[in-house]
Amino acid sequence: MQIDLGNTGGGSDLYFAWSQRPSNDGIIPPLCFYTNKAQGADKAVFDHSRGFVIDLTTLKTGWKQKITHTWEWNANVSQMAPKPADDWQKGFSVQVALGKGADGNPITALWQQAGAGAWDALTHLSPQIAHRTNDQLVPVVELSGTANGTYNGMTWTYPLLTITNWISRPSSLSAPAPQIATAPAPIAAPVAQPVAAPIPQPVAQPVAPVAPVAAPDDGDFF
Amino acid sequence: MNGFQKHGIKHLSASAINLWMDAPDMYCARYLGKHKSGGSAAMTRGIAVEDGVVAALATTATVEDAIQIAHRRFDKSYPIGNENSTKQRSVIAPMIRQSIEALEHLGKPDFEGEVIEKFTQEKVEIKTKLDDGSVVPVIGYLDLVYQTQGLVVDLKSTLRMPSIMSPQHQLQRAIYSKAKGNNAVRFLYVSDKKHKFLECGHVPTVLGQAKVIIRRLNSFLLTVDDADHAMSIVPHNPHTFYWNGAEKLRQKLFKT
Repeated sequence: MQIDLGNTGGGSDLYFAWSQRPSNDGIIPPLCFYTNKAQGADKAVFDHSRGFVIDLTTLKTGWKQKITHTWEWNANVSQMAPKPADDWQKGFSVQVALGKGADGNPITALWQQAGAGAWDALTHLSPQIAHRTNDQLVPVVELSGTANGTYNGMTWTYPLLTITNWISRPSSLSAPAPQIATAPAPIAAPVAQPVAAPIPQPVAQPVAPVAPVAAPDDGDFF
Repeated sequence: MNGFQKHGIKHLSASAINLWMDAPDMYCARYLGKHKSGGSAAMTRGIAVEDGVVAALATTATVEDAIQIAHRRFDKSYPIGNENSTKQRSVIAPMIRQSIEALEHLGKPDFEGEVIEKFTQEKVEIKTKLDDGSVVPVIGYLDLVYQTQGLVVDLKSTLRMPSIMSPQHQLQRAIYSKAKGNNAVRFLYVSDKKHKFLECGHVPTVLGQAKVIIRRLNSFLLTVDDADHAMSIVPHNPHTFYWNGAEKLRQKLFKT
């Protein structure tokens, strides 16, 4: 199934989100992703049989004020700023590519969501992202299930997204946005001297395990 | 056939013996069930600090370069920061500076071979004999070796500076000391604010205790059929820090 949202690609006002509970209007069932226009119209359930692309080059993490919906973004996704106050929730913002609509045009949307369910979805992705071998590629993810989180008596359900492939960034996601990538954070202290050659990377190199041996009488025994 | 051979365990290490003592449930999951558990942010911080310190001591990298290396290493494992990983990341730079301050007077450590891009940790091995006469190797890897000074240094980054070495670290030190003969083996503890060298524990006493523990582990392994059997009877503590970062595995294996 494809969704005809009359979308014409990058720079859309389409939003993408995880729904833990059914919407009040009954359009969105629980435990699914859905799309929604900025004005709140044209809600549609996302077809979970398709994967979608997460543009990590646009990823931002931060805190959202529950009442005013104000966001405070972290300086870098590798570092989480202290919680501003009790009524703020962790969240993130990232562009996603949702395939093509019925008109054949690519659909992109902004996934910007706060709260435990959304954050746990991102946390579940983090170790998978850690295994990437090329920072220029973006992940294709699929909904592989759900899991429950609990804290202080509260329970929520979050999506388990599994990275199924790494691909070149789709052109529909337009030029890289001036956002914070998942690359290393800039270091506060100035670098004394740039190093011309690549810095040697110390990596422990364990030697192959040793099988049990017959007992010689030497000084290594205890 | 001893218990280790029965379950395909080819050697022991200080961490394996300590894990069996402290968290036998995790030991069975890891070494019998072959379940891998992701390390914690604190463990990754330790690895990152060590990478940075070795680069600063053994290459032309400046301290600031070393900090960048360490941050890159950490960010590779934690590309999306949370409160805990951010806390651990924030102490990497001061810990590296503390380490360099403590170690730079010792000069350049020795690594095996003329390796340009990778350093090979020196492997050491000692052996213990079981009641049936079979032998079990106990291995370890040395962080920093200063051959001309007859000194081995193991780097431990920590948020809380200890006054004495933990029994777990004493065992690790005892294994290194036994393997390295006349070398002094010192553990350098670094926090973000200070550093301290410690060498605690009487080596023969510590190894004697370890031998008892190894024999008991051997008896346990001879008793259990397989990993599932072992995990069904071994004491389980869901609250130990060993399960930090492995909560999903714990839920899967022990339903806690």
